[in-house]
Amino acid sequence: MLDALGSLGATALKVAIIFGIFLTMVAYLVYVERKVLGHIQMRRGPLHVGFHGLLQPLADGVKLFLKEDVIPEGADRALFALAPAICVATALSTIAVIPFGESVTVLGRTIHLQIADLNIGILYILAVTSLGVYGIILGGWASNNKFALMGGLRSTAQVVSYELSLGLALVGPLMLAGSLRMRTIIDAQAEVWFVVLQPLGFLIYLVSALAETNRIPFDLAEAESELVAGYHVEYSGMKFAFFFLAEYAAMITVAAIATALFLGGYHGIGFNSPWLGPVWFLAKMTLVLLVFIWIRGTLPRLRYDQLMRFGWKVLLPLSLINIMITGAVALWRQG
Amino acid sequence: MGPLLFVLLAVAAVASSVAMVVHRSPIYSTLYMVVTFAATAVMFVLLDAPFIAALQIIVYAGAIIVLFLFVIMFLNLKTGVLIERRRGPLWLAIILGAVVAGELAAVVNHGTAAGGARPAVPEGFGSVESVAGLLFTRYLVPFEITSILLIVGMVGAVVLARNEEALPGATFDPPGVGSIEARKDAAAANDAAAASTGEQPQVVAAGDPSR
Repeated sequence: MLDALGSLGATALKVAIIFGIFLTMVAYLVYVERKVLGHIQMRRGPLHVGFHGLLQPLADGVKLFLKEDVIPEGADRALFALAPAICVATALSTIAVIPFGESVTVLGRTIHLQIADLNIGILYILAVTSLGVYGIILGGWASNNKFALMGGLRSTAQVVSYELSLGLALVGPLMLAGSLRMRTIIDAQAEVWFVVLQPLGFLIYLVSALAETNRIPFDLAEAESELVAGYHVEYSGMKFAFFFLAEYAAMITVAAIATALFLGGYHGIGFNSPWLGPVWFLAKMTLVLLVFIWIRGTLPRLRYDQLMRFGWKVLLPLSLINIMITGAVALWRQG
Repeated sequence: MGPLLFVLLAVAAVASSVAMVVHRSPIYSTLYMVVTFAATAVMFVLLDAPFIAALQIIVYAGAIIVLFLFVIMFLNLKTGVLIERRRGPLWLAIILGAVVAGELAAVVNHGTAAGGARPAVPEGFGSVESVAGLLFTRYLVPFEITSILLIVGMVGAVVLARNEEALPGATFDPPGVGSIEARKDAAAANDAAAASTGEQPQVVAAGDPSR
């Protein structure tokens, strides 16, 4: 009984710590994005709050807390409040199955650097993120605003379309590892990272992930020049902050999946120790996120019909071909 | 813990199913359906079938119901539009409902009567391996036939929804803009007219009433 309580307490502590780190990372991802974009555009980015603007996320948080919460007339009040909650809950709960490192021993107790080691880990992530689209579509509809509705519908069509090629791109690594468990997949990459064996799958995944997170060049859902801001145009204060938080949390999640399934997860180059695992993991994740920001600073936005055509007529067939090649090679190597 | 969770989930599933049927707003009805699916998915997890639970969420909640919502919002269905008036006598509905309820009760009773002698759950039940193994060996033919049926249904829907006028060689043609060919023709005619009169060419798009 006491032991069970102890392990429950340890798990709760672990959840709290990982959650805290995750939220801090989300806040600082916004800062990094503004800073890097600023430098790409020959500006300096946030500079005044703290050393080189390092306390800017804190200031932004305080600002969003203190803002007035406006609910538009004619809005569906219940769904208007529910939508950001759905977005943020689904975005944050994906972190539960991502392993940041192997086990470490602290005070004689072995601690796995992962909250839950599900044997369908990757499917859990896909299931939870596929629910996130409800937040977007309901937020757009409940606002009683045509721009919000258009943004919500666009985003839904886009997310549902690109979910297919995203899921199929992940099938390659799954076939190579022979498991859906995140830890098994990472351990299968101790020798060779799957990005070497699955270059096409990795590319398809990156492009679909950009579309899934509604980022440039696929940010049709919030195309400022056409839709003002998209599905969250009527939101203010903390409700808006929730959408914002969910977007950046989703970015971190897709970067973490890329790291775990293609970039070898917590396996490093040369230096390997259980304590260095999280460092490697975070370093690779940061690299992927920097590529996302770099793409945003470089590419223009696609047109809506181009986006749909590209998803269905290019990415989807390519990902199917990738699966067929992977299967054929796996069969041939088995003899 | 298990029975308590089951009761909670069962109440949630039944209540949201009832709410789905009686709610006047199509949007809310669809959302209650999602709640029902989520509750049954958690029940699958309790039954040691997390794979089925994940599939339930991904396929039904994540894809199909999203498309339902999409269509409802596209058609802009207002609250109360989809309410159908009851046809036929009430007593018949009550009798038929009672028959179904009786059947359900009989099945449950039958299952619990055999309670102690239920066969043991095989090793790895509900896992990805066991589901895939059955699907691709024993039930391969029905599985493939189902997928062919679905494809035929999809192609049929596309053919039915296709605009007959826009058939051969149709290009992307949003209303009010005119086809690309028509615009090219208009531009060419405009240029020719401008060349003959010596005026500046006006940009006019055929089929665009706003200009």
